[in-house]
Amino acid sequence: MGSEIFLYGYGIVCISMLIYNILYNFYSRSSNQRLEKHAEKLSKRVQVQLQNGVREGVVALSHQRYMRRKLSKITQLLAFEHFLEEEADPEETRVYLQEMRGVFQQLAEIYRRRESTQAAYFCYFLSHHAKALETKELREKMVSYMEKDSLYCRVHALKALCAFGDPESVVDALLLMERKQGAELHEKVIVEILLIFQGEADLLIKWLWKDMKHFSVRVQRALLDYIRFQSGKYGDEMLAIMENEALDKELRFAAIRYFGKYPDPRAKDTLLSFTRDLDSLKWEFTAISASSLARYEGADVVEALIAAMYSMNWYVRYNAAASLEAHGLSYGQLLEVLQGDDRYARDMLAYQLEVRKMMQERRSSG
Amino acid sequence: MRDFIQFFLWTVEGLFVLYMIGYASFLFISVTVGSSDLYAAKRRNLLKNELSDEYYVPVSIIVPAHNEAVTIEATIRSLLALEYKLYEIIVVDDGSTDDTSKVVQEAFHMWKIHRPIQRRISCQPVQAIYETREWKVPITLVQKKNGGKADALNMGINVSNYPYFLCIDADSVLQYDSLEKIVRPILEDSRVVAVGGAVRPCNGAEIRKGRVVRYRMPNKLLPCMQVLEYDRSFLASRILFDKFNGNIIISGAFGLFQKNTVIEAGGYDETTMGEDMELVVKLHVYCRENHRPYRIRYVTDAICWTQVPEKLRDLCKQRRRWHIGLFQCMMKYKNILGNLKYGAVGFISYLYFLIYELFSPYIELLGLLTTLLAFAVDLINVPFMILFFGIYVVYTAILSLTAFFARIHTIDLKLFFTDVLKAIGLCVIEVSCLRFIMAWVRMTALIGYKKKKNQWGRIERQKIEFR
Repeated sequence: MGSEIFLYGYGIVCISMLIYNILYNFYSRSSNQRLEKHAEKLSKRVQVQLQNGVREGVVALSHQRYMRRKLSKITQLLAFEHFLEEEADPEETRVYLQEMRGVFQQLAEIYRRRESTQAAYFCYFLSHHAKALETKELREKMVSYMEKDSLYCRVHALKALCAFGDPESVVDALLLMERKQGAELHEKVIVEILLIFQGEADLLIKWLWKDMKHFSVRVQRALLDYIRFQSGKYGDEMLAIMENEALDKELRFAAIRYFGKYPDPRAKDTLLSFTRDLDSLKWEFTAISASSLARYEGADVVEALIAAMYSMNWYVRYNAAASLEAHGLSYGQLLEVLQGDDRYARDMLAYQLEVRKMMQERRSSG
Repeated sequence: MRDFIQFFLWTVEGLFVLYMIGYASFLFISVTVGSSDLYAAKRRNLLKNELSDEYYVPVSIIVPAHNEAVTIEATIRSLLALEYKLYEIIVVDDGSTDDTSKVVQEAFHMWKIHRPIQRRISCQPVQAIYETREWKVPITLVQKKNGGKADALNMGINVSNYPYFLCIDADSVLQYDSLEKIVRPILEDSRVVAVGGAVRPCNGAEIRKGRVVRYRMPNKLLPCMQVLEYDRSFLASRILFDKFNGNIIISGAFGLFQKNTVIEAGGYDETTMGEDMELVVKLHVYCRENHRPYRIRYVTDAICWTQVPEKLRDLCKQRRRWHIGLFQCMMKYKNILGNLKYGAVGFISYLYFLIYELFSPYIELLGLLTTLLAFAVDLINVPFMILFFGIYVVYTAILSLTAFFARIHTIDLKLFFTDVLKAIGLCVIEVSCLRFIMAWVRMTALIGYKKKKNQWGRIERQKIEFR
C-alpha cells in the first residue's frame, strides 16, 4: 500500500506540472502582446505629460504618483523599458526621465527590498538611463545595492554607477563589495564594467590609487589591469609596484605587463634583470618580462632574449622567441640560436619565424 | 521447497519495492527540480539577470577526430560561426584512415609547420602539425599516431594555448552563443573547474550559421524516442545533480574544463572507454583529496547539437560503449562509494549510477527470471502483474512528457502540435520497448569488452547541413 501512495502522489504532482506547463505555454505565447499592451498604455500617459511637461517644465504630481505605483510592478517596468527602447524619442525620453528622478529615487528604495531578481532588473534599467536619472540620492541607493546577495544585482548596480560617471561612488561600491563575504566579482567582470565608466577616467583612476591598499590582491590586480587598458600615464606608480619586492607577485606581474604595453626607458633595466634571472622559482617574472620586452629596442634587449631562449622553462622560451620575432630580426641575426646545439631553443625560434612567414604570405595574398 | 521459493519471492518482492520507490523518487525529484529550474532560468533571462556583456575568457576548442571526413568541415565551419572573440580551434586527427586531415587542410588552406609542443600529459607522438591564421580565429590541425579518443584529447590539451579548453565531438554543431554561455559559470564563481553544456539531438533541426531556424521532432522513430530520452535523462537529472555539485558526467560532446586542474589531475585516461565520465569523477576525487574548493557545473542554455543514431544497430553500439565506460569508471573509483570524504558524490551520485545505471539491466533480468519462476510455481497474480506493468509504463511516460513539456521554459524551443502528438505516442513505446532493448544491450555489453579497448566508437555519419 505504501508504494501505491508514492506512485499516486508522484503521479498527481507530475500531472499537475504537465497541466501547468501546457497552460504556461499558452500564457507565454501571449506575453509579447501583453507587454506591448502595457507599453501602449504607459506611452499614452507619458505622451500627455511630455506635451504638458515641455510647456510647463514639470510633470504633474498625479502622474508621478501613478507612475510610481505602476513601475513598482516588475511587469510594468519591463513594459516601460520596452516603450523607451522601441518607441520613444531619445531627446523626449531624456527630458521626461529627468523630471521623474524623484519617482525613481522612491522606486530604488522599493526595489532594494524586493527579491534579488527584480532588484537586478531595476539596476539594469537604471544603467540604461543613467544620464537622465542621476542624482546624489540615487547614487547612494545604488551603492547599497552592492550588499545584495545576487551577483547579477551587484553587476548591474556597478554598471549603473559607472554609467552615472561619479568616481567616488564607484570606489565606495567596490569597497562595500570587498567587505561583504562571498560577494566578489570575477576580475574580468570588474575590468569590463570599469571600462564603461562614463565620467573622467583619470579622475576614477586617481580615486582608485587613493584607496588601492584597501582592496584585496585579487581586486587590486583587476584595478591595475583596468588602468593598463585605460591609460599609459601611470608609469611612476607602476614602476614602484614592479620594483617593490614586498608586494604580491600578481601585482608586480600586472605592472610588468603595463610596461609591455607602454614602453618606458625607466623600466627597461628592471625588465632586463628579470629576463636574465635564471632562478627557476622566479620563472614567471622571467617569462612575463621576456614578453614585455617585445617593444623595447637595443642590443642588450636582443642579447637578454637570446639568453632566455636557453631557459629550462617552456614559457620563458616561448615568450622570448615571440619577442625576438617581434623585433623583426633576420635569419642571419638569429643564427646563433638557429644553428646552436639546443634543440628546444632552435625549434621554438624556428616556429616563430615560420609563423611570421605564414602571416606575410597571408598579407601578400590579400 | 515451495516454502523456500515463497520466501525467496517475498525477499525479491521487498527488494523490488525499494528499488522502484528509489527510482520513482529520483525521476520525480529530477523532473520537478529540472522543470522548475528551467522556469526560473527563463525568468532570470527575461529580467536580464545574466552576464550578457562581452566578458571573454580565452578558450581552446579541441575536436578529436577519427575517420570524420564526412562531417569535419561542417563542424569547423560551425565553430567559426560562434559569436565569441577569444578562442582557437584545434583538430586532432587520431590516425584516421580516411581523408579527415586532407579535407581540413584543403578546406581551410592550412600550412605545415614545425611547432614545438609542451607535453604536459603523455600521448602518442605527433606526425605533422598544420596551422592557419586566415580565419576569424587560429586553426591548428594535429596529425598523430592512433591512440584513442582520450589520447587525442590529451594531445589537444598539450597543443592548446589558452587556460580553458572545450572538447566537442567531430559530429556535433555548437549553437552560435554556446561558448559565451558555457563560460558564464566561470565568471560567476571562481571555484568552477568544469562546466557541462546541454546536448540535444539535431536530427530534425535546421541550423543556419549556428542558429536553429526550425526545430521539430525527427521523422524517424528511433531518433524521436531518443529526443524524449535526452529530455528526461540528460536535462532533468543533470540539473538535479548540479544542485549539490554532484554531476559525475559531462558529455564528451560538449564540456569546458580548466586546463591546469585537468593536467594536475592527470588528464584523460586512455585506458577507459568512458573518458568523459572518468575525467569528471577524477576531478571530484582530485579536488576533494587536495581540499581544494571546486564546483562542477551544468548549464542548460549552452547548447550543442549532436547527431543521434538513426539505426538500431548504431544505437546499440553507442550504448554498449557507454555502458562499458560506465563500468570501467565505477570500478576504478569504487572507493568513493559511501566515503564521507567525497560527500554527496559518494553517497548520492555514485550510488545512483551504480544501482540505476550499471546494475539496472541485471536487476531487471533478475526481476524477469523471478516472474517466470513465480509463474512456474503458480505464485503470481497475473492481472496484478499486468496492472503493475501498466502503472509503471504510464508513470514513466508521464514523467517523460513532463520533461518534454519543460522545453517551453527553454529560451529557444517552441512546442508544435504535431510534435506533442508524436511525443505522447512515442513515450509509451520508448518506455515499454526501447528501454528493454537497451537493457539487453547494456546487460551484454561487458562480454568481451577488453578486446575493444582504445577503439573509437563508429556510428554511421550523415553529412551535417551547415548553411
